[in-house]
Amino acid sequence: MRYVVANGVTAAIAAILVVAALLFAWARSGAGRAPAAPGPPGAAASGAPESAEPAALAPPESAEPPAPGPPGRDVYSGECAFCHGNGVEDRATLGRMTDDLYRGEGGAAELVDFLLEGFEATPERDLDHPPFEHLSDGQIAALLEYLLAYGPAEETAGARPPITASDVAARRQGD
Amino acid sequence: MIRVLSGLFWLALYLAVVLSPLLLMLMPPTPAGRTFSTELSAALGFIGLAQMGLQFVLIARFRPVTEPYGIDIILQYHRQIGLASLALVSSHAVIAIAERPALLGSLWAPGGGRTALLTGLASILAFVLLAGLSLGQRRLRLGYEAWRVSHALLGLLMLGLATAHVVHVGHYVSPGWKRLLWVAFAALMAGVLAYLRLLQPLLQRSRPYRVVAVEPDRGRTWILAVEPEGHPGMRFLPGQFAWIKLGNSAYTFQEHPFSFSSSAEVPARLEFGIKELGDFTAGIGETRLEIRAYLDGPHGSMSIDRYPAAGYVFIAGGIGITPIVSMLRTMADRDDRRPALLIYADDAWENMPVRDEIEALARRIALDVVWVLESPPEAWQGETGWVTAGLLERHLPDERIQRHFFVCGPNPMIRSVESSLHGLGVPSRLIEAERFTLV
Repeated sequence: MRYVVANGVTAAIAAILVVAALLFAWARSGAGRAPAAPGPPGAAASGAPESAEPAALAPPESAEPPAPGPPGRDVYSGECAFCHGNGVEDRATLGRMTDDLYRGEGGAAELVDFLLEGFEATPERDLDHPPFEHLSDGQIAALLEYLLAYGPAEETAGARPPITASDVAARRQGD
Repeated sequence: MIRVLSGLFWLALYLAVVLSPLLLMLMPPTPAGRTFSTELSAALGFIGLAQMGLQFVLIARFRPVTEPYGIDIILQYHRQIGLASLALVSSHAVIAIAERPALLGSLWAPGGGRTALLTGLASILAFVLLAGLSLGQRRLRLGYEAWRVSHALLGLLMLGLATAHVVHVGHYVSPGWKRLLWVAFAALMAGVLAYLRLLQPLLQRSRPYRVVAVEPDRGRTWILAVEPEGHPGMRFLPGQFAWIKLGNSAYTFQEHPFSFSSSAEVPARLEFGIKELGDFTAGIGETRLEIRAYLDGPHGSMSIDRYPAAGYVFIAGGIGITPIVSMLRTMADRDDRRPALLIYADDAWENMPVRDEIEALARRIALDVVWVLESPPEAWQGETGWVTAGLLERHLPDERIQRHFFVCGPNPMIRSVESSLHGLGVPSRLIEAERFTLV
């Protein structure tokens, strides 16, 4: 008798756990939230209409086919949103962090190195970050420009030379 | 009733703990939601880790936790849900990598970011190894002690690596107090193992026993008797068992479960019926007298004291007679006159352990015995072969729904007898069996 009950309870517990995980995923994914991620201030200047939300930013399970968007935004959606999130505030947060690093000692070179090499956790940076050396020079440059456009416009936008594919190529070759 | 309530309480607490990671993930500040499959992967991973940790509590033999269900049920659950947890964490990894195959590329990349991935994959690898060694222990001819050591070490490794993975990935564990909670959880679970392997032996040392007899019985069976040293002994329910360590150290991994065969009314001398079956039991007859013994118990739920009834039917196969003879001896010591039927099957008449004792008990209490021999002697008039539905039909009392049934023997026999009893109209709630497969 105990075994009959126990087998039933074990199956019920396993089912509860899977259902809970599914519910969690539903609630946390695009299915449970309204998709919203307008481009950064700089995105409009790059030619993309700010009001037009590219389908590339929507979760992959969206029925809409992806439409081409600004290169940096597409790279973010495909490579960064997995961990950093797809919301406006997530992009802005990462943009501000990127801007902070840009204005630090390392400048653009340090940003590029971060993406190419990744880094292990340190007391200052308590999490690992994987390398993204598989991205092309152009993709990395576009991504950084996209994120930097979220930074304080008065301090960076228009007041700095843009990061280009050739800058990335130079860092990749160890210059 | 108290047992049922206690069982429900522990079950509810278990579910609360194992689902708590999802609540923790939802507590602000939370990162932005991602795709359905990515979030599913994260949820499966966290739930799987909580399950991994809780396994340490399940196997720690805390009697308040095990008593409502019986430790055999807890160990069965541990095996089943352990495999389910492996499926959960494996699904977590498969989904995450399918979403971003580039993750695997970072394994070989010269830069950073590998620790998170490496710890996660290594944890799953340790889990697979642990499960493989458990499922294939016999096929691999892995000794019981070696398996226990490997199980404990791989379990710790798996938990530590998985916790490191969570901390390094960092998603859903910011701010720091969330990470701290996971580290504390892992440390607490490792502490439970330390309790089982370090503190419990220390407590056992204050309640030692002494081996006072090692006597041969039929069928390569030995009766090991121990007496308490400096304490009153162990009260147990007839039909229960204890884990026994023999020798001077309570810290040995050589620890095996054996059923009490003596009367529960005599706690000052505990006897165990042990058959020569495995590495350890093969040498049980050479156990020296006067050496120390350490007991962890009593455990088990197969007992007449747990299932009061107007009468009992005991069905034993081979060494499965041990807990049943404990129940019969206890009934005799209590002058319990409730009717009892024993169906005792073994291969040969000369191999049946405690046969003389049973014949003597049949004269003291209202006990009928049906002997079933697979290889009977020439002049044998009794039952032969296996315990079939036909045999049961011939011998079971008419008022069978007033009896409680205890079945103890090899697993195939238990399954067959249970099925036959169901076919004869005996409901499951009246049948008790203990399937004791540790691995």
